[in-house]
Amino acid sequence: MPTLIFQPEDYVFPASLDEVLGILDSEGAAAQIIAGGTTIHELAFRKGMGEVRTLVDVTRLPLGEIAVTGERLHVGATVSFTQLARHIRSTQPRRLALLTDAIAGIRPMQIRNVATVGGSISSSLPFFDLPAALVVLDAEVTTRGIDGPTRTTPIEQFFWDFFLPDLRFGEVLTEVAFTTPPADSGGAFMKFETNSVDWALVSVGVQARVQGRRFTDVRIALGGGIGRKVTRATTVEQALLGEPTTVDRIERAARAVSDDVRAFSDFRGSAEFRNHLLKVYITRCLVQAIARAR
Amino acid sequence: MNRTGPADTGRGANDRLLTLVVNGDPVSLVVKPYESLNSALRDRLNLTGTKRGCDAGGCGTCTVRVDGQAVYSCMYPALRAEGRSVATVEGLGDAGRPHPLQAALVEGGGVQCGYCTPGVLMAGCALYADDPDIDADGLAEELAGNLCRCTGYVKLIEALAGAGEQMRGNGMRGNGND
Repeated sequence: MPTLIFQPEDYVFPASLDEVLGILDSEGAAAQIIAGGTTIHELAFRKGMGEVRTLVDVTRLPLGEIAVTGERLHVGATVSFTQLARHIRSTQPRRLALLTDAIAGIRPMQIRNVATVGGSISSSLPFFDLPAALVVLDAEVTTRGIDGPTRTTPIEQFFWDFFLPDLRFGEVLTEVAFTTPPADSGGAFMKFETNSVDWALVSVGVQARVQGRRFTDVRIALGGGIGRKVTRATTVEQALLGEPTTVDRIERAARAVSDDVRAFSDFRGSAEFRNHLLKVYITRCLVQAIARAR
Repeated sequence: MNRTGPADTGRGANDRLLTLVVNGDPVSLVVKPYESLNSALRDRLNLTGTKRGCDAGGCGTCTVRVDGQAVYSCMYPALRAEGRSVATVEGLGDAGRPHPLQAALVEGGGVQCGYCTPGVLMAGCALYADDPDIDADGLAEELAGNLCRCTGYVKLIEALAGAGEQMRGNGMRGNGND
């Protein structure tokens, strides 16, 4: 007998995006999109599929392409983590090291091979690494609905709340786009985890532009157990602008992170420990980013 | 081999026909709409070399290769494998003619209870296919998704790395069953 953790009535492979939108329109909450399937599997495993009767597999649609227009990278929703990392390594390994760091940190290759960029974004969970890295890059998320035109949203706003993306009824995420950071900037992504398959306690992504040994642009995004969604460390960013790129100045600025987020306590670690980790990892990330900016 | 799923068990209105290639042989079987590739292999095709461990994408013993890529079969929808080529541990070697990775694990003390072994072998094959020059550090890093609670990983990784040297000498890329 087969082993089944959740049984929908149907599992369909639509031939076009219009067909997907049609199914979502007619079936509403009874239809659920599945891409890499890792989050769906987890939901099914936890008996959290609710009233879903149809799984709509989008992996055969032409959403798995990466297009480059000038300095802008357009990543299709079903591009896998493995595909994105491979593309970056063969094109802009230094300028997009932030993203390859984040993807390399998603340790099981078995997950990287199937998990998709669009799936990780539309899950809207602060624990996922790639979304935090994309917040650093100020990415834009493109969605499409059956009636409305294509809608583009800054990714920070797209993360509406915990597990709640700004995805309106019947809408599908089709693409995420971002501009490759300038050559005189550097990025890094690090996280602290107790093992390679659990959520990280904290994750930190940074991109810093350095001119004349001073910070001229800094973006820092925080993920993990730091709140309900990926959050920018804007106070730290502001404190660093115009400052010399010394470890001393970075450490001083990083102390302000407790103004930006309210880390929480759980069985993985206390809020106090997470706040400590945030300061340590913001500093380490920025030191590495500076090294890469040269 | 032309395995077909049991025709009279668990049949229902939602049954789907799935056609794929398993270890080089074309196979047709009936699966449920959201049945895992793990269930299709183990419970339908009786290929029980692939294990079911945590069933939640974390232990790695269910690892198989789909079109060469290592995936967790517990969370890979069977229907997505339509028309694809799936490689499992059964296709790696025979009793008298083990794959170099299998021989290395046995000789190097990389197998104790054996539960992680099928997944480690398939993950190892995928890694060597991707990068024939991968070393012990690279193997240890990339096998993060395969848990072994017996060996402490040291002998396991040493054995796999040693097999790599041997395979490079023979001009193999870990593709025992492609």
